[in-house]
Amino acid sequence: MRLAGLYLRSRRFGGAVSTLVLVALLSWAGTQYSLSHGNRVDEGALLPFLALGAIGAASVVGAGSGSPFGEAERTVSCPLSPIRFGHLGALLLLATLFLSAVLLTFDLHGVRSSAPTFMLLRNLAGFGGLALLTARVIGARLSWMLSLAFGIAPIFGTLRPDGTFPAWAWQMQPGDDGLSWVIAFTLLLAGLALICLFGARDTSNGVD
Amino acid sequence: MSAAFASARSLLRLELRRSIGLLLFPMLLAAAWYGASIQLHPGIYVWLDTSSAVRASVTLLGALAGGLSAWMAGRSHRHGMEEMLSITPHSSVARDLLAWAGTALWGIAAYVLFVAAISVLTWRNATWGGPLPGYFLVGLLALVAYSAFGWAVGCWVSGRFTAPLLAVGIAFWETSLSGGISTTKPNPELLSAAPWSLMPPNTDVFQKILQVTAQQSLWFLGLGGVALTVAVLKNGRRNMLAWASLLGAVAMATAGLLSSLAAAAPLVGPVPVRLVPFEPVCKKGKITVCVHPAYAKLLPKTAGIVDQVAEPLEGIPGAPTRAVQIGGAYGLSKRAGDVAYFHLDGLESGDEGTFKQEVVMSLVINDRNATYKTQARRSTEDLRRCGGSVVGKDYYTLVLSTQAVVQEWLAERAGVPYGNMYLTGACPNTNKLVKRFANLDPAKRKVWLRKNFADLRAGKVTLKDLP
Repeated sequence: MRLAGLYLRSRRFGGAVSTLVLVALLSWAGTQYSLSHGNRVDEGALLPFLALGAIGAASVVGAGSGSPFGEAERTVSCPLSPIRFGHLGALLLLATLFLSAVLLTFDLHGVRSSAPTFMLLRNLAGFGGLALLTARVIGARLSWMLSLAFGIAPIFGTLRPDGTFPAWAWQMQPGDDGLSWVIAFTLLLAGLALICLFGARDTSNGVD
Repeated sequence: MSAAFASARSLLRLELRRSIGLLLFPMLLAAAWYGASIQLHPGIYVWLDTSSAVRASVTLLGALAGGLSAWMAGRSHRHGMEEMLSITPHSSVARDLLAWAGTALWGIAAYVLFVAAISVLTWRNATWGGPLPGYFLVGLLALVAYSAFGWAVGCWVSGRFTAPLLAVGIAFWETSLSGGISTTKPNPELLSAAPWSLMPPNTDVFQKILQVTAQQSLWFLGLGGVALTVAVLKNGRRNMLAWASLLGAVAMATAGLLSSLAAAAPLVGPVPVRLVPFEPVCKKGKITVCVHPAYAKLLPKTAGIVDQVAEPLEGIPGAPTRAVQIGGAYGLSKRAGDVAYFHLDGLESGDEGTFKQEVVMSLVINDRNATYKTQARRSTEDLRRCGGSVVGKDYYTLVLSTQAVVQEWLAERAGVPYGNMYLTGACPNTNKLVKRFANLDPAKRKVWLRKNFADLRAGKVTLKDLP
């Protein structure tokens, strides 16, 4: 238990949770502003929130996965994988809770459906996985780059004339699109597996 | 002086080499390309689209540059190098600015390289108009400003979550919040008039665009200046010059904001759309097809598809003899009855089906954009007459039931999957009537079309009149 506590402190778990709250609050404020000033007051108007809120939270998860100790940590006698998994799982769970709570506050003229919640969960899983994969490849501090770069461009560039998005823009698909869920959860599982087994890339002597 | 310059140059070289921008340069380049190309249609080069996409690419590139700068700003602190750096002969201001420049220049290099590449491509392929250099400049200044902003934030708050939070914040700001100047009846031109807006204008080659390049440049220069001064103030140089610089930068940003609002003011409210004059390029076939000269390269393909779709109506009295491309703004102007109209959006995206549907619809319906209210009333009455279901008081289609039958027949011939057109099935027996019409003897069908097509387009033929 003490090891887990120390581990969480070394990952600045408290800071990460505070930042997740901040992400949720900023997403709420931004989306409220967007809804009150935009032409759309429907679920489509939530797309930037569903993508960027998830990217923001996923970036915090990715950035929180880095170890400040490098090689020294890998010499501990007990397995780190369960602690890493618990840490990342807790962050992802809290991110889901915070953003879902924000989602419930939006007033879409009385229209309520579960689709945005599903989209949010899927996007959080997908971008979380992408951030963790990037953390493994180039380090935790820059793990936000790929999910941000891949995540935001489809928001304003790939809408087809028939109002749909191409399949590769999985974050923009409707909540019930099966393929997008498969992609998102594959990314999450791959990212979680890599980080839990090997940790984020040690950059203390490299580009950090 | 020259010794100081040489020293600064060598320090800049060092900063360029130790910056993470060097390692991530390919990614920055890819981000610029991706951010812009995703808004462009493959193989179609229009200067307005290219210029807009270049500026809008900073939505992504600026967020990345801001995040990287925030991360780099805190690096010396994280590594405990501040004391060591403080004993170098340079002033702390010059050292900070050069360290920032060492990161910002990688983003700028990616942007410039990308602008050069896409400009050459567009220059070689575009058939109308010219580049909007102001857009390129605004994109560059915005990139510099976001990078400086990131640096300033990183200087003040150097935590592990600062960079991602800032990058996502910039992206969120640019994609969701900086949507332009909001009015109750927004003029499309105003959507790009806000000094901070990098998004593509909601206009096309048919419509004039309010240019606020100078105002946007002032805004971003001011923003960058404020950010850099704030960063300098953090590191202890709080003299008169620093405060004066901050004041000057704030004044510059304010001037940009106010002058931008002043430029946009005349366009707020019910202002007529300003159209750009042009000479269309046309191709004669079974039907004459005309497009905007910017899309001249699409003319052969467009004419081929329109010809194919309109082939059964060749020589039919009342059938359109011309098909003309329209844009969003141009479409608002009054249309002539004997001309079919189409947008090229679908074809640009490679979606031939949508394009064919629009052409078919325009061939069969006369002046379909005239008044939505009238159409709504007529189609609702029409649906009630045929026993179709009317969904809510606001439900209407642009197509009357008889027009839908001919439309479906034409669409099916053109290869648009059956049932994709509007209204199919809204009247209970539409599908049967379509099949019956399609199975008619071609000569008989031609005779009927010769006799009735003009009335059909005007919405005067009922289902009972169908053969």
